[in-house]
Amino acid sequence: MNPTKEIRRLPAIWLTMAALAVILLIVFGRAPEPGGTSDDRLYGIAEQLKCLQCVGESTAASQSPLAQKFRDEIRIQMVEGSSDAEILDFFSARYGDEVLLTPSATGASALIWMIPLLVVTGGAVVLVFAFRRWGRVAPVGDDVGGESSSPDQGGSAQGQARVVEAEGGESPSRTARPSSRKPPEWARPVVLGSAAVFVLILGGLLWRASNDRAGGNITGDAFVSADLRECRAAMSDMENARECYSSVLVDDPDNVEALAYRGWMSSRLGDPESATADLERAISLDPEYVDALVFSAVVAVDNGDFEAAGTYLSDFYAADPPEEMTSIVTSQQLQEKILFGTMEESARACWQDAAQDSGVGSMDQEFLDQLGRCADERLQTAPTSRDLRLAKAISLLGSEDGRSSEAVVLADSLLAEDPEDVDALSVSTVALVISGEPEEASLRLAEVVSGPRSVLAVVLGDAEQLNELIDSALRTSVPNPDGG
Amino acid sequence: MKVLAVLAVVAVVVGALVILFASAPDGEGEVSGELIGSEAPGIQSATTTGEAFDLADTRGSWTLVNFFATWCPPCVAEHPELVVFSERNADSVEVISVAFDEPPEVIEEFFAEHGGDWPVLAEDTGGIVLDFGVIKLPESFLITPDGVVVKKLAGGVTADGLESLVAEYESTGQLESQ
Repeated sequence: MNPTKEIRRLPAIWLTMAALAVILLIVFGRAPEPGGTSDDRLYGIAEQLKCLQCVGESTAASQSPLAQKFRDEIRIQMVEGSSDAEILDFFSARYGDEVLLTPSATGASALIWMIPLLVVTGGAVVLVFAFRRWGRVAPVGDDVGGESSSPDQGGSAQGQARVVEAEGGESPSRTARPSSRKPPEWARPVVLGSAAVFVLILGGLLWRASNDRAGGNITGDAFVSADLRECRAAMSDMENARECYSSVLVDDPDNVEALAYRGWMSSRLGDPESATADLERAISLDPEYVDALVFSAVVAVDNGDFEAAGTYLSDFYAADPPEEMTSIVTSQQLQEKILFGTMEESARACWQDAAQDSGVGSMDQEFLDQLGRCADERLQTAPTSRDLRLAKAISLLGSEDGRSSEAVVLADSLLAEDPEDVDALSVSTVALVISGEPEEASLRLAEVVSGPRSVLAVVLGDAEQLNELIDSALRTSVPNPDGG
Repeated sequence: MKVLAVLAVVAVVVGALVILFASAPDGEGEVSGELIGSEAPGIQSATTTGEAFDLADTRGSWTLVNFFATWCPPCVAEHPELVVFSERNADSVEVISVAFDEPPEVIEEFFAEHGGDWPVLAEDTGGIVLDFGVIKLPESFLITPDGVVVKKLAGGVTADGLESLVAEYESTGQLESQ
């Protein structure tokens, strides 16, 4: 062993480790200012509170609406002179201790504090033993440099063996340990440095993980990524949400939800080209993703492409959408817009007049009477108009004087002109149920279901509803020509 | 010995990691406030129509405090149920809506379109949101005529469901899932 050389080398490694430790302490252990109303203090406190609408994020980092409210409250309480502890108590009293990112140092939670310390300490002990062990062995560089200790100085057969072998000689004793296969000189600092960095980084990561550990989202789908949850929570701020979804797409370009919702945000922000591109891609990846379908219908209506909007909406209903998504159809008045957008001018005026009071979706008697009167008037001057004849046929569906068979005749005349007219097929199906011909209605329903869907068909009732009506009529087997 | 030492170190590190991650919650745990069974936090504010509102004035009636936003699809979906609940129980129930984070004019437009004739609070609602420990939207809090919060309903309500909760409490003095 050459103590001088060894001691000379040690401080460099220890200094490196000390510097790393100081950096880690600065990064992970920075404490907020104890008082005042500075942003540093605000974010220092916010960093100790979990974002309840995100995963793995603190209130300081999150842009979710609730996190913003948390920060507002922290600022108010700072101005009122509350201490950090009082502010944290305020939140834990309302949301429980789970809202605190810094776990308590009692009970099982104490493990969270102990583990990083144990790992770092354990790593340091291992390193110390490694230094001491290697310190007992003469380094190769010393031998080559001519400053090697003599066998006597080395004081061990093992050391002698290494020295001799390094000089190309024979080992003086066959009993010498095989540790004479010494690694090259550069290996020791590399291994030690790597070990030190590993231990310190591991400790730092564990420390950080223990502080972030309880960042779980309280809402939503357990299988949705943290990023997407953050984007969902940010949706009240469309610009922010769009950026959020863009960042998700950087890592996951085929993420259907991110594509659909970025498209939706773009459309609300007046960027229809980007919206259309994102939504088309989302649908190409998942043709039954109802969110993308209904958003696409809205965007297509905004672009004046009512045919495409009708197709999207039909696909949307075919995919059995949940209630919160169908509410978008209602709130955006999609059915009305698509119906009117694809309709001849004269028929559209009739529908709009009739829908003025009750809306298209209700289809009550007053609506149907008004629609029928208007269609009758306009058919005087345009007797071949397909849309006016269809409007007339629909108006007869709710007729109180039992004229649903007239609706069947009118719808059949339209089908004679175009056997694939799905609207006429839907009207005739409903009319047949009402006029007491459920068997024939059942046959036509099969055609309605297998053919392309239309918005009007949706308004009249989806396949399931019609099926129930037909089943009910078949069960009773009592013709009900005046029913409605 | 050397192999054993290395194995021991690896075991310690792996064990530490296992303990750490096994002890961390999975992120889906419910954050529980202390509100259920306690007196409802006070609310003194102004409604969107400019009238003064004090939650204490609703004592004697069942009260539902509903937190919502117009940009939240489940909130829009549950709104008709709140309307039905309010209309069917007009004599015995008060519904209060607290807007999460929107201007009063947006809220007024929403109510004009979707119905609902009850006090709506929309300005400076941050304190109310935090006092009730609201996390997600929609959330509703059912308060007894004595002013005690007996139920937190997250994710949407139905008129029938609310009525059954009121009936259950009135007949048994508690809620099963309270």
